Amino acid sequence: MARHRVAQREAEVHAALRAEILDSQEQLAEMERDHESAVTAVREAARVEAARIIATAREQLAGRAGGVVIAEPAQVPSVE
Amino acid sequence: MSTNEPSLPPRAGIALLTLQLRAALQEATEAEAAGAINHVAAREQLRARLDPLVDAQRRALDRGLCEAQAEADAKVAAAHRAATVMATQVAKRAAVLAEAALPISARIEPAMPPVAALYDEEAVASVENARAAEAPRPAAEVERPITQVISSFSAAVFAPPAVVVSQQPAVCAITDTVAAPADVREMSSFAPPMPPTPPTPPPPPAPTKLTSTTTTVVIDAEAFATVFATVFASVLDERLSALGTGLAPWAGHVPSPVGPAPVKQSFWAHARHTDVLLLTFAMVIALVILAAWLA
Repeated sequence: MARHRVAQREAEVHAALRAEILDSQEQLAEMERDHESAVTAVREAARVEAARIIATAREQLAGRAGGVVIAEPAQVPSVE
Repeated sequence: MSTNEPSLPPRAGIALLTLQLRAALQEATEAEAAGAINHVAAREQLRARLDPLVDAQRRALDRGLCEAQAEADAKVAAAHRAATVMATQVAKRAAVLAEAALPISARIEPAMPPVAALYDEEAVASVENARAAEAPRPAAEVERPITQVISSFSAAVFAPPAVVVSQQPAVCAITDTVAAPADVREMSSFAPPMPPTPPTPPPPPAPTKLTSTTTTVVIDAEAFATVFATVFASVLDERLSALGTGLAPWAGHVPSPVGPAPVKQSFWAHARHTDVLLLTFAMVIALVILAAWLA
């Protein structure tokens, strides 16, 4: 009877340890998902900001230059 | 164990067995407690191993996020630089176009007032009127002084600074007695426009003390070379054309002398002229540089 209870107890502890490991793995996966979403948001914001800067500059220069043709600037290095 | 000993009475045997059973139950309970303590220790040990791994992974992800933010900042900075390059390019092209639209005679002639002042004003005015009637030009080009040409040169040569620099007022002494204060203001027309100032009393004699604004500029070698080559070629063309006809470029201000027509000189008569020699020397230097570059 006592051995049975000990065996049952050990099985419960093993399940708890396994659950602990799975919880840690899930925590790591969630952290990676959050990291990926944060990096994607930062890159997208930078891309939008760069496009806005270029567009604003082109509009201002087009209004200022008159008939002068504005050439495309050098390709902005991508951070992808 | 001596349960089968015949010397003990039955009651004593039962009591002994009861005591042994209680001892076994006590040992089993202690064993269960010991096992429970070991399990708690194992769980804590597992957590102690997992937590550093999770922390290390969190720090690595934080570093990656910081790198992504740095790259985003670099991308925005590159966009700002591209916008600045576009502004510089447009300013340069506008200056070059404005310079190309201005004839060379309008740049050179206003620089000759001392020469024209040596002659009779009425004769000069009549000659200028005659020339204006012969070759009508836009009023803006005729009346454009040399200082505006210099300012357009400055706008073409000195591109706007790539980085915003601080402009702090400073007091400087201008000892050049040739350029009047008005000319100085026009020559610095590439600076940001200033609000109109009320008329000031006449300045004291030279050296003139003026309050100026120091501006850090970036010299664009390509624009400088383009403008310099254009002006040099135009001056040479005008000089050579004037030499071909036997008149100086400013001879229009002077009444032509009355007399026999000059004898037409040979084509090689001016082979040793200073302009020809300088042009030849410049061509040799250019050829040497081209050969070195090709080698």
